Amino acid sequence: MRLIQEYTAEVFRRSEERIKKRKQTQKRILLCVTPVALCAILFTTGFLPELQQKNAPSNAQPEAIIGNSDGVTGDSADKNNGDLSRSLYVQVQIQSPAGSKTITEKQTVDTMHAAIVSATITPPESGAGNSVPSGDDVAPGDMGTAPQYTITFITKLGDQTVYTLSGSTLTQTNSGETTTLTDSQRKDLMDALQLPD
Amino acid sequence: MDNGASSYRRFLNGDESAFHEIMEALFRGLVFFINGYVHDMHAAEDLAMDAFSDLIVHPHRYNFKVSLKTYVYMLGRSRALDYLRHRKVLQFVDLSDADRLADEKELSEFVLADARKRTLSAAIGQLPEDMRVVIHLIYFEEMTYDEAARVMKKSRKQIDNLLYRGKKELRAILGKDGEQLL
Repeated sequence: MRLIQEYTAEVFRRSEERIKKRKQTQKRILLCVTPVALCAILFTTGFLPELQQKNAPSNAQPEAIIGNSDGVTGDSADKNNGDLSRSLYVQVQIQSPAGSKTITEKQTVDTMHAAIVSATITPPESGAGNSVPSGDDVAPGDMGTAPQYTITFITKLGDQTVYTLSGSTLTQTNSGETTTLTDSQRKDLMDALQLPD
Repeated sequence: MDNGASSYRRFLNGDESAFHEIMEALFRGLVFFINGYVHDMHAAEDLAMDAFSDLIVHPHRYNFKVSLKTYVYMLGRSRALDYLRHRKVLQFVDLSDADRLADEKELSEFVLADARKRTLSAAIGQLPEDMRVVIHLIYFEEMTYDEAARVMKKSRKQIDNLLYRGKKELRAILGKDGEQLL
């Protein structure tokens, strides 16, 4: 048997070796993990929000992002009532038989958008809502003789929401939803859109 | 006596000579103990050194709640059992038998300093492993039942039973002369 000192020296030598090996392993793991972690951080902080932003308008209506979707039904429509004055739109193009005009003034665009949204979500006083109103309440021109207006709201990113107003029928062409307006609703909308009745 | 815990504390505080004290106090006993499992002196030395190097590589694993001796013997036992498991897979090349036997004799002379222990040790060799280890820890390493239970990862009751049965068998092996040794 060797002396205890020899064993002690051997124990220290082995320990140093093991510690060295452990450090090397830790270093190797760190070298592998660090780039992966950095990539993950970069992806989540930089690339992912951009990707979400790009995807969002194509998947949903721009209005839906800020919570005032045109022509929505149920409780989301109630939420919309409180925030009709703000929209993502920066431009409106209105095409009428007399010609077309473009409005870029933000406040006017917002007012027009609010008018359209309130016309589509506010039930007419007759209680007809989206159903066909009866008799005298219906605006003239439902028989196909009324002029047709196309109102196009455009966002900063270029996304468009298009409405057509023909007589008392307001249609959102993106979703295909149709609303029949009462006389007063139609008048209010025409006023807001600065169109001659 | 704290069985090396204070020396280990000193070692952790930077005093390397304290580790030598621990080695002096525990190394040979541990080799003898491990040899009881592996029946190979050189492997036992190797495993004992590995167990001691655990004290240096993982200093914070020992919580000072048990004696250092108990802890080191726990490490030694676990290393011995690992070795036995691996030995089934790996083939080891034996060193010279003469060397090994000489080392074994020298070690047993050191650990089993008195005649009583030597006589007992010879008889213990005939016992099953668990009984042999328990008797070794209690009578040769002078551990308490609790410490032996910790080393062997058994309950105190199991240690008690093993010791009772071991002593009974030893009496049968040693005969009437052996009665006074126990």
